[in-house]
Amino acid sequence: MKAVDSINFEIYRGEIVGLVGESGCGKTVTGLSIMRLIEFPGRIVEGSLLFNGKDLLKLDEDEIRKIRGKEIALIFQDPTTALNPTKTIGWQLKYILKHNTMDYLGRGKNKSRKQFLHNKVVDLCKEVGIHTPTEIINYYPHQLSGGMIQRVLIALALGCQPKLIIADEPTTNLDVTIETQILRLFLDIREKVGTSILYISHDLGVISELCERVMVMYAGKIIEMVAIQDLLTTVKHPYTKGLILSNPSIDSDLKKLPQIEGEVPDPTNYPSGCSFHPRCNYAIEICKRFEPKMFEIDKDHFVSCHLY
Amino acid sequence: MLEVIDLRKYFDVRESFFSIFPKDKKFLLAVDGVSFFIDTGEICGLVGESGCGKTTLGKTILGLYKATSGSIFYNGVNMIEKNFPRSFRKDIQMIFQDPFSSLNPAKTIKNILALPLDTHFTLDRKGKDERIEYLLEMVGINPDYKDRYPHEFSGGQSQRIGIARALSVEPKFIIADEPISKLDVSIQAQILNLLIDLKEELKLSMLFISHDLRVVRHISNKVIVMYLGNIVETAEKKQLFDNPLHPYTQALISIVPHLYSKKRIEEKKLLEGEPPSPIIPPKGCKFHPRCPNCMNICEKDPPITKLFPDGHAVMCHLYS
Repeated sequence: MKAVDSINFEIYRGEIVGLVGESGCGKTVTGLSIMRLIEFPGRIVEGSLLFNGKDLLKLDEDEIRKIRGKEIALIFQDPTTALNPTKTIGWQLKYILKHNTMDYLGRGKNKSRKQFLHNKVVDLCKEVGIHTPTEIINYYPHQLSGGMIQRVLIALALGCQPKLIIADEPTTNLDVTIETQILRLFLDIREKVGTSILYISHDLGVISELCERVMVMYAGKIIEMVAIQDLLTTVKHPYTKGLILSNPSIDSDLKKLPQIEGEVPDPTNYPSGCSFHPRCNYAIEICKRFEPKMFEIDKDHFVSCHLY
Repeated sequence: MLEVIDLRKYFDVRESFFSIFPKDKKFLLAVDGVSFFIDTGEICGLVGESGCGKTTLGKTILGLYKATSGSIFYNGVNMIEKNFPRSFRKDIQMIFQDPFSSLNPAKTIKNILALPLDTHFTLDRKGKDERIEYLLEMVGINPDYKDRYPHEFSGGQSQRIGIARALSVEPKFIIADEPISKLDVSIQAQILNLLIDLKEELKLSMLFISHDLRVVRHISNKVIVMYLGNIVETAEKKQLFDNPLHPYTQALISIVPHLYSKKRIEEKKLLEGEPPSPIIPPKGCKFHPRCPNCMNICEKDPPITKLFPDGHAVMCHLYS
């Protein structure tokens, strides 16, 4: 079962890139693969993962561990299950800082080291908008709201000043008022520290307001890549068009929403040729037989579709 | 058709995680004095964030929770006084949020649909089979699948089955509690369209509960906005979106991320803070700690609802 089927993309320094797709399209697996967190029986079969020039797939476990969490950080989808329920927030933050930032702890005495860590944790909390850090660090995860936990997760990710943050649906389960605060936080992080962000979501609305570029996935493949400012005006792939049209807008007053017929395909049984053809209004004969190849249709606009 | 007057539902919270509070009798004010009405043939959208009480309100109207106080008038008769008779339970049905957990996994679709039919009608086997096939076709499920089990269907299909079940008893009123939030985006539009079609065809009235303002905007005739157990604003859809009065509504409308937004996240004025606890809500107006227009009176006195002649209602000191 090919969860991710030959995808190619690049993320530049300081960029916020969105990866959008529905359930089963492979977006989470993509995120996990970059961190080399794919567990048996899954495995990365081929390809290369160049990070700052180094191919991550060629590194051994020890070397990857140095990068994972330090230079590339992952923020998981469900805030409630991502933290250790038996340890306080403070403990978890300190643990990450201790183990991933050995370099600047130095060899001070125990007491000054403790103080140093404590101050660092408090600063980190403030950076992610936790206004009462000295209280929060004594709480356990179940005592915090979803939004607060999400801030803690972001603090954990930031603790090591990563170059790349992979955020997998970080705001999906949050209320919209909290969601927008967290989105603003991502932007602030990028402004202050220059971190690149791969923002994975099914919500095109969020991606269109946060990201500069978006990649659309369907059935394990990236079917379109385009800059956000060009998305609405130059969208090419029928699936992307369908996604856009079936989004109710805050201004819309249509009686019926244009919808995409059919169901999201089963990863163990993708349709032949172009995986989208059974649901595509524009499918032609070739679509059933051959997979389309990705090509650059306009400057920095890539699409894989037989129509073009 | 449905009129709710000063409905309250409080939950007794005797013990809590929050060890900093004394172990007194504390109440969670889930629904704290809610009044509204829905006309025949109207879709009323109920929007609010988690913890605002919208699901509790839906369940209390159905009688699934016992109301603490207040009245629920259905066609002029107070259902609470009459103890939710069977005729009411047949007329009002619910569609639940999670399509997977709302269908009994041990029963076939046929059996799931047969149960409400058996409860409210007396049909012979042939009549029941026909009715079940008719229901499945109406929601776009192949009737040949009636002997399958829920796990064999996708989220969208399961939701369709849930809708078929709600419609099986020929209700007049549907309470849909976040019916599409757990579905993929491309399926959400299908189910939304299905609900709109069914509403027209079967002349239904609906209370559509959702946290997603974009969806509510699309499907509703009238919109109710809830915050921490209270209705802060009620208006016809166009009124609400063209001229939102309550600062909370204004914030929701301006910040919700959507594709056609003129502003990106960095350009928007956000609503700060977190929704407070429904166990010890703020004094005065519950929204005042987060309100950009907060005045002195907001911290002390709860506002009363002002009703404008065009039907637009708002609960805010700015207008009283």
